[in-house]
Amino acid sequence: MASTVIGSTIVIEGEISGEDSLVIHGTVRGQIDLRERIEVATDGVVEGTIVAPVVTVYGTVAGDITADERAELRAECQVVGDVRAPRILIADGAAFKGRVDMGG
Amino acid sequence: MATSRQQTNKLSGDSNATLIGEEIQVVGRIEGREELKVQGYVEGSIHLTETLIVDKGGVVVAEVRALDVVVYGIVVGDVVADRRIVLHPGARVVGDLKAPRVTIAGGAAFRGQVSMGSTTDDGQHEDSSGHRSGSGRWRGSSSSSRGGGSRGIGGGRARASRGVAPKPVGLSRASRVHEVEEPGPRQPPLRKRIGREVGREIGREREVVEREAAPEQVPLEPFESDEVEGDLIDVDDGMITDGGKKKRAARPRVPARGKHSVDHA
Repeated sequence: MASTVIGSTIVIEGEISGEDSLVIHGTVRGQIDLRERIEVATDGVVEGTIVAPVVTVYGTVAGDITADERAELRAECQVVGDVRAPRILIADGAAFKGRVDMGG
Repeated sequence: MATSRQQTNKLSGDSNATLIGEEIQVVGRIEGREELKVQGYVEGSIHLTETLIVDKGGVVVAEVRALDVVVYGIVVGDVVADRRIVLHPGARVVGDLKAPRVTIAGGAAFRGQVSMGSTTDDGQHEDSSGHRSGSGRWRGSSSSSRGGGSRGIGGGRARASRGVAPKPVGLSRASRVHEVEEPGPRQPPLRKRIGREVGREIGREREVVEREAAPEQVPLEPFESDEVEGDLIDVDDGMITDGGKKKRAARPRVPARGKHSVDHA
């Protein structure tokens, strides 16, 4: 499947929505609402809320993350914001500031 | 950097070239210093220092500025390239093109102005905006595209948002494509209607003639027989209508019967 890739020099200010997986190496300022998994790569920056079934963060996110299935904050990621997901993984070395809501 | 890319590459598959996939909509501003390929939908503005490729199936409703702009899909909005604009067969573009080199292939649909000067001089082509709106083609998608002199980011964005105001996410692309292709079949019904009206008028003329002339002509009138009959009853005696009825009933049926009977015999 041809997944969407935001390259490292790309800056998007606005809203991204759709039904395709998304890999962010660049910068996105705005809301992201996907029906597929999203990955913020080590050089990726997201300033805004993220809504997707599976959210994996290696890079930087400033904003709330809502995942229907799973949220993964990988090592060396930087996340500031609330994370809401039934399953949440916070790796050793991840920098995270915010609330965690696993439902229930 | 390279290692980090490899680490995160499992999702992207091949390269890290920027790609807006088929099922993705981006509304807003995109800037970058690398090649961007659009297979999905982008609304707003795109500023790149490298190549923008609008793939087949891609829709860009935006003011576009890039080094090269290569279009296989749909672009609505002004396009400025520092080097080259190429519209390939199948491309549909509504807007002004501005680049030192502009190529429009056969099979590409384009409406707008082309200027091949350097990309820095502006305002020279402002005056003839009326000329474009006169063509009347692609009315659905470009009705809002001629605001006059408002150029640049603000104008482009306003135009874009107006052109696609009610945007159900899934259907938007298909309906837009339809709009672009719509005007083709618009004309024939008009012609038909004229034809029908003319026919009706001719029919009335014949009725008038029939009232004045011999009643034998009535059965020759093939259509609007009810009207003819009614008129005859009003104007003339029952005798003539009877005669007319008989002949009218007989004429159309006889050939059909004859054919069938001949075949069977």
